Amino acid sequence: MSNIISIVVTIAASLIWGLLLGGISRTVTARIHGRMGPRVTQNFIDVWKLFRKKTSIHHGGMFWMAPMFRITGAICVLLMVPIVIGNSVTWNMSFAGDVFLLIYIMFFGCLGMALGAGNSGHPYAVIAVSRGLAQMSSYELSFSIAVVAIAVGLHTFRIEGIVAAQQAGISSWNIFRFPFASAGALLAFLPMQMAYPFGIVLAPQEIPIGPPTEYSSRFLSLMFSGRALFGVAKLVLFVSLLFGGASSWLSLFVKTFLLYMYPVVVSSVFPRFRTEQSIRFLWFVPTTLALVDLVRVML
Amino acid sequence: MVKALAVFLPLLGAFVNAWLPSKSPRASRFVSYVVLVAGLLASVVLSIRLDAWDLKNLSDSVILSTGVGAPPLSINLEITAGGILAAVAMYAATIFSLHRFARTTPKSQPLILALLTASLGLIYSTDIFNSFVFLEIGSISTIGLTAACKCGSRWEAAIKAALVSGLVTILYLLAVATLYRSTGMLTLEALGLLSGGSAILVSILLLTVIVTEIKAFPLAGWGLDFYQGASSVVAGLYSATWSLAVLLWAAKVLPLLPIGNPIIYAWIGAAGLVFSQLAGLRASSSGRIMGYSTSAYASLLLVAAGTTTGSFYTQTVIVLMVFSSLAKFSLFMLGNPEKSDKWSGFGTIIFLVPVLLLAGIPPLPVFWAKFAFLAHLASNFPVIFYTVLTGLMLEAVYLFRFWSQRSERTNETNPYKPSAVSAVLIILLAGIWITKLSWGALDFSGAIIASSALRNVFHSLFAIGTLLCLPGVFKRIGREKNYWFWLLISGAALTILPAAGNGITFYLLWEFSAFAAVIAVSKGVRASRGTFWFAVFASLSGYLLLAGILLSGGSFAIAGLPAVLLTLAALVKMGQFGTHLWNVKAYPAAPGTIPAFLSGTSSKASVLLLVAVALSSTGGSLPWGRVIAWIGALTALTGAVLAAMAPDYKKMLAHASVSQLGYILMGLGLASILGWTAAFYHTIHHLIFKMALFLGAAGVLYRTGTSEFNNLGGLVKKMPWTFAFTLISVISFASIPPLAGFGSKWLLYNGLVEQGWLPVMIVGMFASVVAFLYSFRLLHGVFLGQLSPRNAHAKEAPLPLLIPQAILAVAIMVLGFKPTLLLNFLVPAIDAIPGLSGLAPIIQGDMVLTTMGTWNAWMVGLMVMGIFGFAFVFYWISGHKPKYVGQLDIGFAGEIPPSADEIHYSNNFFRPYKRALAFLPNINAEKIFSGVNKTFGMLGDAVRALFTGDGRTYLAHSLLFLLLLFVFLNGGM
Amino acid sequence: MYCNQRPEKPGNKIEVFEKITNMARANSLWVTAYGTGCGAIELRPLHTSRFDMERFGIAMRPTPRQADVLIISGYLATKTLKRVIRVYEQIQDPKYIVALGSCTINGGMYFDSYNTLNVLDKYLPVDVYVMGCMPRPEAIIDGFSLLMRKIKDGRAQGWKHYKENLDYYRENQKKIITDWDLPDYNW
Repeated sequence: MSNIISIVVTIAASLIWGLLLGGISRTVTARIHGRMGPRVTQNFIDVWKLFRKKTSIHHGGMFWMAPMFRITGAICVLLMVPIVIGNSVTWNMSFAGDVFLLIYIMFFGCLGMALGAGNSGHPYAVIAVSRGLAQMSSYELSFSIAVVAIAVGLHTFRIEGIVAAQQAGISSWNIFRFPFASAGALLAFLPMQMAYPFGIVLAPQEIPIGPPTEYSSRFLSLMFSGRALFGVAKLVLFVSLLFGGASSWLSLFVKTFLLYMYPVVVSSVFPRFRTEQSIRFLWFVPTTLALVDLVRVML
Repeated sequence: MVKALAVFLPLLGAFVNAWLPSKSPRASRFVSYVVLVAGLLASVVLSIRLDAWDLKNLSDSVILSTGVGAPPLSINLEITAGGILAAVAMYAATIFSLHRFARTTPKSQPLILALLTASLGLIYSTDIFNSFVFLEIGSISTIGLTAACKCGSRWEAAIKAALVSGLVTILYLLAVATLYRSTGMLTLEALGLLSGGSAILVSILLLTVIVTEIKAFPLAGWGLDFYQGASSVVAGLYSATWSLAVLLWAAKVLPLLPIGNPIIYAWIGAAGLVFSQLAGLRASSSGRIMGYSTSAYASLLLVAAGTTTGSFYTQTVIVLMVFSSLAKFSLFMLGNPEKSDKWSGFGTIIFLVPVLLLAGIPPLPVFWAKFAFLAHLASNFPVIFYTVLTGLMLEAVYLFRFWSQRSERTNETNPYKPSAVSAVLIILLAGIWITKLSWGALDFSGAIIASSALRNVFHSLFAIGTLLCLPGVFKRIGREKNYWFWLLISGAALTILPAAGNGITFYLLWEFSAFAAVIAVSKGVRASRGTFWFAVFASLSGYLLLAGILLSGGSFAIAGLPAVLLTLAALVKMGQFGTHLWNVKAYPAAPGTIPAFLSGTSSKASVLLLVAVALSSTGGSLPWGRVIAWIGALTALTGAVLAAMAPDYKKMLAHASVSQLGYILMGLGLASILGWTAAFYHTIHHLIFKMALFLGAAGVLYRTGTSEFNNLGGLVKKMPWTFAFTLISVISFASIPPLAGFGSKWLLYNGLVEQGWLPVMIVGMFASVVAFLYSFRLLHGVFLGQLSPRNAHAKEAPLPLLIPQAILAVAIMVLGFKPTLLLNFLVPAIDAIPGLSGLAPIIQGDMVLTTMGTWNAWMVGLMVMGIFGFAFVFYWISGHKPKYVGQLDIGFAGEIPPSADEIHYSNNFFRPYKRALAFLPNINAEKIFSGVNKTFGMLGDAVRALFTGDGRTYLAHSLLFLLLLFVFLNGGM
Repeated sequence: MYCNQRPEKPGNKIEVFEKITNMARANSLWVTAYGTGCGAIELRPLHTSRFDMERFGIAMRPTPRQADVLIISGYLATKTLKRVIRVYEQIQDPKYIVALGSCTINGGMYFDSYNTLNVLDKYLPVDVYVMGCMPRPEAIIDGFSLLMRKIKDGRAQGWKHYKENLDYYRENQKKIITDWDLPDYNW
């Protein structure tokens, strides 16, 4: 029972935290631009407004189900990561799988989203998906190398194990023990968050908003929520992998907040890559970095 | 009496015919038929009396003495058991071809009968001078027959034959004179009495005569021109009678030549085989191809004469020569280049039988002879063995190309000749009869794979795979022909395959299944190129397998080179290592459910082979397991990239299939319990999802008539069920939990990490991510996006295709949610195999544990399904009623989209990816293979330059050959 | 190919949370990025740090599917009208139109042009007019705040009016667009 409560609480808290982080990031971006920016609660307003729009359209079954795929994928990732170390109730479903399961279940939402975009019949949506998949296949390379390097270095694939190995002070954090792998993973984090210079998927200037271009109203609101949840899930995952996990709710919020600001700040000062530039950068720079630690682990 | 009848009836017929008034061709034909049928009966009786038909002792003979006194005054003929078999074949061939002469060469009956007489005389004659007489009769009647036929470039052929026979006569008479001068005898046995210089002289002269007459390389030039120039009917009769007779006569004379070490024959033969077959690669006309094939068999004869003795020699030679001559006869009868090159579908298959026979594919009779012969070579003369094998492989290539080119012009008309069909049927029946001798060597005890659990896995995989392909066999499009029979044959052979207990059984079933599949592929529309590539690679892998089996002494139980060859055979069959070309060419060309069978079921035979090799060589570890794993990983990656770029649904699936098989290799190469578990898991999983995908593709093809992405798209509205099953398969092979595919990746990665093979693992992981590219492309290109008006009429795929897909989709679900059902069975079975390293995964309820990772598929499945179901229900009851809008109602900058086709993004789908890859050198398997092809072509051209088509060159060749032999043999002594 | 159902007439049912929802709608106005006339140039400064319309929750969306507001920025040519109709009808309810400049009110300086609409309201339901030729960004912000007030009060019902009187609007539109090749219902 406590487990189910924990799951519900985790989802609700992550949704709120994710939307809030989104609002904060919009404000931060605006401040970097020298603007006022919206309220920090702007994302809640947007999601609510979209949810209450009076009509909406759909293009077919996959289009209809894609937001659900998205949100399911996001929640699954969220539940597979132990949230707070000290509180084993918040580990939710993380006993059911290890870091490989996490890597692969992250694609669940992406694939659903891509299928929905495909079903919309809009050429731009599909162009964006083709870009997104190409980019995803590139950054997953460096990300998975980094994860494997860390997991093999710590002799466990279990996230609890990886977190537990980092509890001996800040110097035991993986970002210090595996600096190159961490650098690779953090570079891969940028395209994961669709931050510039890797924001080629939702490029509003050339392929209007990318995959969700046909989505409206409640579909879009679900998609926003899904993205917020997924964002939090990725943050928690990265905090667990690289930054020693969260020993309390406070440290969780602080760490995820700081980590979230990293792509926001990078994003607001960079222009955008072309797709092939992005792919090639991701193939070479972060992958090479991550490989350094992999070789170190192997030796 | 019977003896005399069997030999001299044709001569009698010839005389009678010659005296008949020329205005009654009907009468003369009647006489010929009577004479020939009587002769055939006499021969059959004689052969039964000699007990020839069980091939036990072909040297048994009876002497037919004619005239008075000793030769050369009389003609003593030794009717051997082998010879009488050949005689039966000759009679039959002559009877079958007789009516074909009626139209083109009305007054040919005496010549035909004379040719037959000469042939019979030559194979029976024991006297070197008598042989000369028969040689002359044969040559003259050949020339006459060729020139008399009002067809082909007859004069060219006749004159070349005449030139050569003139030279041969001179050399032969010189040899006869020398022999008589030295020994005072003219029997064949007298050759053994020669010594010193005369021995060398006679050997050289006779060897040149023999090599020229049997048309072995390098003196084959005139034969090629003859086959090309003569009309097909003349060439057919010639190859079945005179050519066969000369070959058998040569087989009789060669061992008797006082040449010292007969290995020189083998070298001439082996080198000649490779060179002539190289040249054969460039041949295009059917006559010339037959000429090269004749040359190949002549070379084989030389090799046999040099390396074998006694009854084995006779047996090998008789079976090889008789059946190859008959095959050539039926090819000439079928392929009538002058008239039309058209066959019906049935004709195409009929046409394939002799080609398969010439290429030595089981269970046709030539195979057994070749197998025994090659086994002998492999254990005694390894270098000659490799050379011969190379030559035979080259021969197979051009024979299959020949067949595919011919069958390209298939037509619905039905012009194949009943006579040829019956000839082919006789070959088939004779082959099956001959093979009964070798049934004893077959072993179905399953000794190759000792573990009965693993064997059962393969048995059931093959059986289920075949069964699931069967319901859809009648859902064919357009001009695709019926293929269910061949599918059944191939599937049945596969199903028995795991029970094979020795190498020969395995090879037999393997080739059986492969070539039944080749025939099935050939039933597709415009499938000839695909079939060609499939046949070439199937025979390449077959020859590698054969070499491996033979070198390891008929079993699998030797490590080292044989194991490597066997592994290579499996890799080629899988399409790994750049040999994916055949998958990519054959799958799109194949009709109906055949691609599903090939990719899903048939490809598992190679997994079985690898497992067998690993089990029998060094206890579970493949030779160079790490190399194999790397091959698998790199193929997985490149296959995935190529699949993402493929422009065609079935082509993409072919690339994807090759790519996915790479994971099996990674697992097998690991040689750990986890790796093998992963490999078996993935084998089963690959069968399930790939069959579902290809059956879906078959449905799409059936309803839309195309598999090009540019013409597809948006079919989800029309074929929702096909889409659903495809989606499940795609999610599974993209290894997204909670479906089955994740398990194989998880097991594999755990195994790779356990053994510390991290680089392999990284490449594998990258490949699995690249798989997303093509998995989306596949779903979008066919089912999502805009529905083209072209496909507006499409309906849901027919039930026979849908139901197997549904079964497979359910299997994916079950396997995904409860992988422990399978693992509980697999892990103990694999754990029991000795020699595998590493620890077995621990299964606790639904939980699977390795030293480093955990996986609880049931909980993951529940979680995903629970959340998805919750979201679905919430969505449903929240009162949200979106309105369905048409496919062109998209936000298109305020415009109305011009047409569905123009806004469907399909062409050049992953262009940025291609651009990002542009830094790589553009290596392309097709280019490599066409480069190989070109190189071989250049070599072949170089060899072909020898055969100028000028009769004088051929004479010069013979003299040069004579000279070289002289120098060589003198130097050698 | 196209949707062929007539839109349902929206009822007058007041939903739960309608007031809160209206607040949300007012504070989250997403504008279709579609500049129909010269006035679009005056929209650009609104993004900049000087005027910053994002502080009101106003954001641009590149696709009508996700937008709430359509800005008719100045004169509307007959040729553009067709596209504007399609874009407007593709926006999901509730949706609003803000019309900039005199041209949309009475044709402005193009009142006698052969290709400019004079009274936009006859063709599309305008919720807020912003005067000027062209209105400055301040004026546009003022117009937006008026729209926000109207939405909060539940008075911005142009979309409802359009749906209820679709035939009237269609008739007017078809008078202008002689080569009508749009589907009858653009969703």
